[in-house]
Order: sequence, then structure tokens, then C-alpha cells
Amino acid sequence: MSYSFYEVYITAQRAFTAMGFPYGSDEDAAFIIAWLELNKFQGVFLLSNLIQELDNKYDGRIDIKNFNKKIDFHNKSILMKGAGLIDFMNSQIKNKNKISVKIINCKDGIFFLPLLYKRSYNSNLSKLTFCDTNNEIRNYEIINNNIIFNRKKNSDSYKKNTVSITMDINMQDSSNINKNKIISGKKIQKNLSRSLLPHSKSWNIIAKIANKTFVPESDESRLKGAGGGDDND
Amino acid sequence: MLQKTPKFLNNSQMTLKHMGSRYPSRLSFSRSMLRTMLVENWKIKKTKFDLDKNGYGTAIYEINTPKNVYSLVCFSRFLNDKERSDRVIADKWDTAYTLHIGKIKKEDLQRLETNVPLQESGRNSPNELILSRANKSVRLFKKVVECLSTGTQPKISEINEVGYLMRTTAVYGSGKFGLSDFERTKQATIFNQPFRAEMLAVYIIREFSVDLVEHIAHHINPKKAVKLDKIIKQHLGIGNSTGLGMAPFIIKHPKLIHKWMYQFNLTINKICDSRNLTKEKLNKFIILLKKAKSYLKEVKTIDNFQIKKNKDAFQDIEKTISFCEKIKFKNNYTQWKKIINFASKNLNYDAQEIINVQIIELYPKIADPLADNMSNSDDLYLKTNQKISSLIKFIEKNYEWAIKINFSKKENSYLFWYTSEEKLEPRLGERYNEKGAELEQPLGIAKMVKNLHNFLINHKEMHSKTVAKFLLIYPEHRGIIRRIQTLSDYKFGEVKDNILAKKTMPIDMLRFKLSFFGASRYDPKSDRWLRVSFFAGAPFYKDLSIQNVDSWGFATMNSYL
Repeated sequence: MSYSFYEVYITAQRAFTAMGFPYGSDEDAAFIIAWLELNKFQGVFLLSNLIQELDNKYDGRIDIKNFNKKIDFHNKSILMKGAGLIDFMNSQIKNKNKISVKIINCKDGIFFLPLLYKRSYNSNLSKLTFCDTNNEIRNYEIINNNIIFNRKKNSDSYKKNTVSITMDINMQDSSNINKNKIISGKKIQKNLSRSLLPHSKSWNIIAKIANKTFVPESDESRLKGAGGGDDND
Repeated sequence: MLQKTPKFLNNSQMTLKHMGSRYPSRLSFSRSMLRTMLVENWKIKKTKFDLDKNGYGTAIYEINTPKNVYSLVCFSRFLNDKERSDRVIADKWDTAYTLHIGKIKKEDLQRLETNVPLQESGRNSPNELILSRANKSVRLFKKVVECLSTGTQPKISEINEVGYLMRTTAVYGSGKFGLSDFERTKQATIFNQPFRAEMLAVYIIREFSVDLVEHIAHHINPKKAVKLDKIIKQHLGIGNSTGLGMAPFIIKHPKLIHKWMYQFNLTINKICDSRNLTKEKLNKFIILLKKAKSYLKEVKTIDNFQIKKNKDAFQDIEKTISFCEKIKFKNNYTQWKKIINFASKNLNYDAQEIINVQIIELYPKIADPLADNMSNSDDLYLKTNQKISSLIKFIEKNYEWAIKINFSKKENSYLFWYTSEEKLEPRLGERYNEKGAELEQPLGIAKMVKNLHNFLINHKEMHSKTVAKFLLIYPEHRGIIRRIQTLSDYKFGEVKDNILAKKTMPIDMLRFKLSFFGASRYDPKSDRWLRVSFFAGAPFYKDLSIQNVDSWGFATMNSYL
């Protein structure tokens, strides 16, 4: 079945609430999922495969003692920790021209992409690099609402479950050869003009979890909850 | 973006009591939509009217605009009187509607015919902007059919008793049930202002309600039946039943709410700064006040609280007229501030708001461009480098109203807002008497701010840290900090009252939002839902002209003579 961006967002947000994500973190995580779904990265499918890791296991804390070397996510999802890290990097970039961080024990690096896209409005260049499940290096450059993508074989022995993020306030354009622009404002509008088509089995899993945020029916609720009465004039 | 707060900002404007006293104005969405329709020369044409003698079938109204064609598709079905309900939990309606981008193709019509009458249970595509339904007013619809079929007209006083032939019970847009997301709608269509597409749909549903009643009357007695008299027709609005859903909307879209209020205050500000009050303007203003006074006397409600509000406003408008008539002019002019200051010192909120909207009425060149700039993004943001000590100071200055509330008292956290499993109807529960409080929505901003403030005060070790560092350790406070920091740039974004308090009147928030929509004839049915009318007194499409497009505020039975 097809859905709007809003429906995917609100259903994901309710699911995150039901899984114990606090107010604010539920919105950030839902944005990640809906944005990925909109842009054909199968956000809903990815989320449905992570339920065991997320449900009632919220942990958004990040230890930054070794910020300049590496940050350990301890295999906790970016959906819980990603937004906090990007915000922290944003706070640091204001005093520096360039920041690079390496995040270890961090799966599903693609979850960082929507967060970096959202901050790309301020013209700074961001780079996201990780090794995917096919042992290919994925490299995304994000600037001015555009995402440029390339991939290559992992000949550098880039470690799996490691993600690199760079923010650079001076660099205005990519130096990559074989650029392939995959996301732009125009593309997003095009995607919005078509429905989102999440993987149906995954959607049902997420919707079922989201339903836990609704208060079950009762006569009292029906009679009083919306103010009672229903006169026909 | 930091916006300078207009200098006539009244601090009480975003309290519930004040919000519940607002009136529609030139900036309201129904008004700006109709102006746009006229200015851009939109053409509305009935392209299909395939109804049987009882009025059941399908009708299509095409709207030709300079950039695109839109179609309002109407489905009319038999509905047993016992099944008619205004509640969200209803599953059948007299009529159902969608506003579609483009002309309707055969395959579209089949799809829409299957889905639109199902409303929330159906599916829509990104080519549909609006989904709505309306029920007949049992009293008035039958009465008007009877009159017209026998060649007579209903009395305008009978029309005034109810105000509409049909009332919508929901008007959905912005991505609900598969509809076009607003992010797309504002880029790809002419509807770049909030609720503009909704207002167009509602306006044409009003047209359809009259076409329907005339059609049925004609089939009852083709020889004798007459059309509805133009004046009586114009007094008809389109009804609307509104429930609690509007209240969460206000809390969840604070930047948008700020924008509406900011534009309203900016209009008043600009008028006071740049226009003198001349005798001629004052006379026009007094005429507008008298019109509002007539409306207050004439408007129907059985709710005692609303009756008293209307009566008090009536008296205060009388006082204002006396005050205005005594104004002395130096060099043939004086200042609007005189009247605004008089109002804020001496009058109730309803009267203050009537004065504001009637002043705005006199300055279309100032108000109308601002009315076409009422949109705002919903994105909230963190100011990551702010120190926690600075955040504490900010909270103490700007949320004093929240942190002074004692939430250990039951009456201050008495209510909880929730979504029912039953068709996702928004509802309000009593925390200490009903089940479900553990599933409450995060709408109790005052309580959340107070909890955050207590937490920050008790964690002195964090006071020198930045918000970004604090949130690495305490990410559970992310949502409320982001809201507080964003709204430091949007002063009208926050409702400055505790909406969990036992004494809360949710309809105050409903009225606030409805006033920006342009609704009139407020008729509360409880503290949680009410009926209103849209476009009451507005010219119908065929009669729309530059002379009447903006002359229908506070319409009364005598407005059309």
C-alpha cells in the first residue's frame, strides 16, 4: 500500500514512542526513517529489522572522552545516538574549520544521512563514509540540499561497523571523481509527488507497535473523552 | 529567524482566556482565499451533476486557475437519520468530498468513488489535496426543501436559527490518509498558504449544499419549485463541527501559530505607526462596530457561557462607540493608539479583539499582503552552544508562568491528552479517575518545562556546560530544550497556560484556531466541541465581486439590504 511522507513519519514516531524513545528523540528517529523511505533507502524495512535492539532499550547517551580519536557507539543504534552526536559536532564546528570523527561499533551508517542532510542548509560540507553489508565503501557528500554519492570496493580494509563523518566549513564542493548526484530538492519533490511504498510486512510491524500509543476503547472514554453529546440539528 | 516582537504585544494574548476570545479578520484563511480567487480570476464550473431525484449521486466542480485545474468531487449518499453523527468515530455521512489536482479522469473517478465515502478508512493519492465530509442539518435542510418545492422561500430568520444546510465534520489535508503532503502542495500547486486548499473545498461544499437542496426541491415539484433567494442564500454558511483535535495542533505547530499571531500584531502595529485616525476613518470604524454589535445580538447559541460572552462583548462595544463619538481631533486627526489603549484598559477580551479586527478591516493595503504570508516551517532547532546556566535564566524569565505552577496539586495535572484507539479520536481524560494516563501525549508543556527547570537547578555540575554537551549525557531532555530554544525566537508560539489543569476550557484553543480559519457563529456544545459556520454572509461564486469580496465580516440578516 502507498503512504504519504506524513503517514510514515507519524507512524514511525508513534512506534518510537511506544518503544520508549523520549520526546524529541522519537521525532529525530522518525525523521530519519521517513526521510530514508521517501528517498528510496527502505527506512521502514531497516527499522523493522531493528525492533529487538530498540524496544525498551533506549540509550541515547554518548561518551565523548576520546572525541578527537574515536567514539564508541557500543553497537547501539544511530537512531538513538545519532542526533545527539551531530548536534555536538555542530556545536564544535563553530570554533573550528573542520571536524572529523570516527565512530566505531556503529551499524547502519546510512541513518546519519538524513541528519546530515537536514543540517546541509547552512552550506557547510559534510561527508559520510561507511562500509556496507556488501563490503563496499559508501561515500556521501552533502552540501546545499544536494547529496553526491559514490561507492568503491573495500580495498582499504575499511572496518565494518565503522562510520566516518567530516564537517568542513570551508570546502564548498566535492573533489570526488565520478560524482553521482542522488538527492536534490527537485528529486525530493518528485518523490513526494509519488506515494511512498514501504515494504508491507515491515510496515505492518511498525504500525502494530505504533498502535500501542493509543488508549484502548472504553464506554467512559467514548462518552466523556471528546466532550459527550452529538445532537443533530 | 529572530523576529522583532511588535511593540503592542499584549502579554496575555497567548493565554487560554484571551485565545478563546478571538474573532476572524481580513487575515483569516477564508477571507484571503476568497480574495485570491477574485484577484487571480479562478473560474468555478459544475462539470458533472449526476444526482437522482433524492439528491444521491456524484457532482464535480472544476476550478480553473491560471496555473492549473482542480476538481472538487462530491459524493452524496442515503444516510439513515440514526446514523448521522458529527463525531470522528462516525463511519457514514450524507456527503463526502475530495479536492483533486487536475481534471477528473474516468479511472480517477472510479478510485475516488470507492475510497472517498470511506473517509479515514479509504486511501488517497498525492493527487488529492483534501478529504472531507458533511452531514445535513436535519432541521434546516428539510425545511428549505419543503419551501422551495412549494414555490416559497424560507424566512431569513429561520435560516439564521441554524445558519447552514450542511456541516462538515472533518476537513483533512497535509498528508493525512495518503493525501498530498503540504511540503509538496505548497511547491506544486497554487495553495502555498496554510489551509487555503481546505478553505476552497469548504467554500465549494457550501455551493454544493445549495445546488443539492434546489435539485431535490425541483424533483419534488418541477412546476412549482423555485431557486433559493439570493439574499437568503448569502446568509447561509457552511457549518462545521470541531472537536479536540485542534488543541494538539496548536501545541505541535508553535512556529506556525507564532506566524499567524505575528502577522496579526504586525498589521495592527503598522496601522498605528503609519496611519493617522481621521474623522472619516473614525466614522467608518463606528459603522463597523455597529455591525459587530448587531451580529452579537443576532448570533445564535444555547450555551450559557457563550451567551454571556456575547452579551458582555455587546456592552463593551457600546462603550467603545460612546468613547469614539467623544474623541476630540487636533488638526483633524488623532492616533489609533487612543482607542487601542482605551480597549486594553477598559474592555473584555472579546471586545478588544473585535476592535482589532475592525481596525484591520479599514486598511486592506497593509493587511492583505500580510495575509498572504502566513506559512512557516515546523522545524525546531537547538542552540547547541548555549550554556545551561543561560538556559536556566531564559526559562526563569520566559516561562515564569510555568515554573510557578505547583504540579503536586491534583488540580494542576488533572487532565491528560490522548489519542483513542477508536478511529484515533483525540480525547481528554481525567488522570485520577480514568485509565490511559501512561499513554498521554507530550502536550503539557508547562509541566515539562517545570520538570526540566527542577532538573537543571539540581545538577549544578552541568551549569557551565553547553546544551550540546548536556544532551550527550541527558538526551531525554532533548525535545523540551529544543522547543524552549526555538521559541525564544518565536514569542507567540507558546500557549501560556497549563492545559493539564482541571479548569482548562479546551474550546478556547479551538476558537483561537477557528478565528484564523475565519469561522463565525461560535456555538459551543460542551467544553470540548463546538459548531461554527464558514463563509456565512459571503457572496456565492457567481455574485463574487471586488465590491463584496471583503464585506461579509460580522454578517447579519440586514447585511444584504
